[in-house]
Amino acid sequence: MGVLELRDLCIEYSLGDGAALAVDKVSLAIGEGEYLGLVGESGCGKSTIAKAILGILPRNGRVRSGEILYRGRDMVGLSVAEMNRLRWQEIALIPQSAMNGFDPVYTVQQQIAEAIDAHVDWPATRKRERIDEMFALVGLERSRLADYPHQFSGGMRQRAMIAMAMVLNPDVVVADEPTTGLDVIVQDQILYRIKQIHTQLKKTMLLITHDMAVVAENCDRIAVMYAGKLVEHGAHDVFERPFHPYTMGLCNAFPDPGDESRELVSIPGAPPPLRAMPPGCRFAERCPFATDLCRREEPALSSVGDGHAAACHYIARAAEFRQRARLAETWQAGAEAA
Amino acid sequence: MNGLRWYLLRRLVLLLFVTAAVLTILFVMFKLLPGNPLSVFIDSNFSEEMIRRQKQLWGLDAPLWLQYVRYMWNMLTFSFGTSFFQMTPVRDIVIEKLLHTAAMIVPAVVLSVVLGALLGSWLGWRRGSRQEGAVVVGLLALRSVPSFFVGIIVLMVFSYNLGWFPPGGMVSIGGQGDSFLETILSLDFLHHLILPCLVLMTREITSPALLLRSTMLEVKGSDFLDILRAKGLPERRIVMHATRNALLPLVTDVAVMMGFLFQGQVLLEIIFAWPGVGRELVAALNDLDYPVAQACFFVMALIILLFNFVADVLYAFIDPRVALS
Repeated sequence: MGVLELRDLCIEYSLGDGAALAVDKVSLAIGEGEYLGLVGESGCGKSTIAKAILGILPRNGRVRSGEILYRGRDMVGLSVAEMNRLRWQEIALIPQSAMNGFDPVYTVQQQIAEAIDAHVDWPATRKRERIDEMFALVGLERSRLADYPHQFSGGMRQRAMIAMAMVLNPDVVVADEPTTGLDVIVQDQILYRIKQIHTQLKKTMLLITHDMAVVAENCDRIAVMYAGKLVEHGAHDVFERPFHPYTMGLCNAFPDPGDESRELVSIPGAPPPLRAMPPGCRFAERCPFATDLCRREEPALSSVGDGHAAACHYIARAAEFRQRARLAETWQAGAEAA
Repeated sequence: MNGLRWYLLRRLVLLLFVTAAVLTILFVMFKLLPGNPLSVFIDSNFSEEMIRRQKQLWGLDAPLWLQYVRYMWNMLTFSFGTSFFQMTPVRDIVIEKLLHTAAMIVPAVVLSVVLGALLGSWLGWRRGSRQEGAVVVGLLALRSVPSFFVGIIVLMVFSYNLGWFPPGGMVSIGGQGDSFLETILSLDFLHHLILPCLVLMTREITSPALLLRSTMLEVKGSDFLDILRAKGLPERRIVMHATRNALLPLVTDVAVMMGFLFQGQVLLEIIFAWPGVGRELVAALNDLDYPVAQACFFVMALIILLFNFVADVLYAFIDPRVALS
């Protein structure tokens, strides 16, 4: 059993005249000390999952059905007080926007101390020591503790955010696109810090990103989402032998440092609108290998190897698809046919 | 903290500079004013010699630059001279009238800000609802109606027709207390205060209400509120963070509002026969009471400048981003 487990999770947003299902029956487990990468395009529901885990969905969002289990205990429907006990102490968040993640009118130190005060009753010296320790962990100078967030650079702010996330030594850390808006070098530093926390402190991590390369480099396991559905998940095998055409597309869309001859392929088109989901496979419209069956019937996740599952009708032809998916023409032709 | 000190110093220098500029403009303005400042003292039967002596007495025969220097010095040391008519020091008159004006403005502003802020956050909360739309339209309408118009209507209805409130003045005749404090703590004063205060509020409440509505909307969408929730903070802490951020622009708004009210309510003081500084200014101009008019002008301008200064300083203290930029 995983530390954190999603079971048939459905999350919807109510919009003025109806509801949109942003996450549709997603089941996923993260084991103790595991580093899972959740990838997908913007709007595929990955950030919604992060928000749901911490219970910070926007006002119009709600878990419609399913469970979010933390150590076997369902967190959906917990009271605010019960939820607050789990938050930060057990599950902490490294948010997407470190830029605006801190309240601009309090110092960084005050805001980290506030997280401590909300959960434990430590004397001032112990708090101070712990915050110092966390600043050292992420490589920030102690002299910057009394600074306000706007006095930090983007990268420093994100590091301070990591320090704040780790301050209560949580079991699980959810990092929701932690490198958005940072330049490439800083991105790398931040990901390195997060990886370090995983390896040195043995934390269970969930990294949400749109960048396959980041997942390939950092994570033990990967889960791929498309239009609110989980389409493939597994260990490193997923990169080497993807079974879902969308995963193949994603893998080919990012450069492979080991194989510079390979051409980069993009997937034409855009995901279907959440409020008008087509029947059948949601990727069918953009999939160069789609058949009538795909447009009619929704494929279920089925096992394709050790801990590796994909939701495609044609997992048997995956080897052939993989070859063809490497070529840009395949995707181009698919786009024209559609 | 060094940044803050520099900021304060810069603001202070600016304040002095602008005050000097205002005084200079005032000097030129009174020089350009038609008529002779001494017309009150000079009779048409006066001989040249007598006129010259009068001018000498008031220092008006000195060269212009010397007059300017003396004027600046006197104004900056608050030596406003003696009223032509009341034969009392202008400083005493101005202080008394300012207190009267403050007695009307302060309660109106405090009530407007508190009620307006509450109304504004409610509007921000109910954003998009029909009630919100209606209230916003109502507020905009209130904001557009001149307060002297509202004042006349209110007087007509509640004083002349219904007779619930006195038609004007600050206290009933003979109702003056021994001290200013005693006066404003009397029920009679309260009775006189209600109408003008309400009229003032109809206008002043709109600004904090509309302001807080928009800042609340802005703050409500901030990412940091999500993080605060994720940190497991109790609801009241989160609301505190949101409010502190939403209130930032209001602080400046209130200070500026106070400043402008001291001069902006001249009409209201006249309608309600309120013995405040605005009414005094108009009376002094009519009577050609130069020292009083000058002092009133200066003090009203100074109050605006001071409140603007206070706004800047307060803002630097509550929003750390200001002092450093």
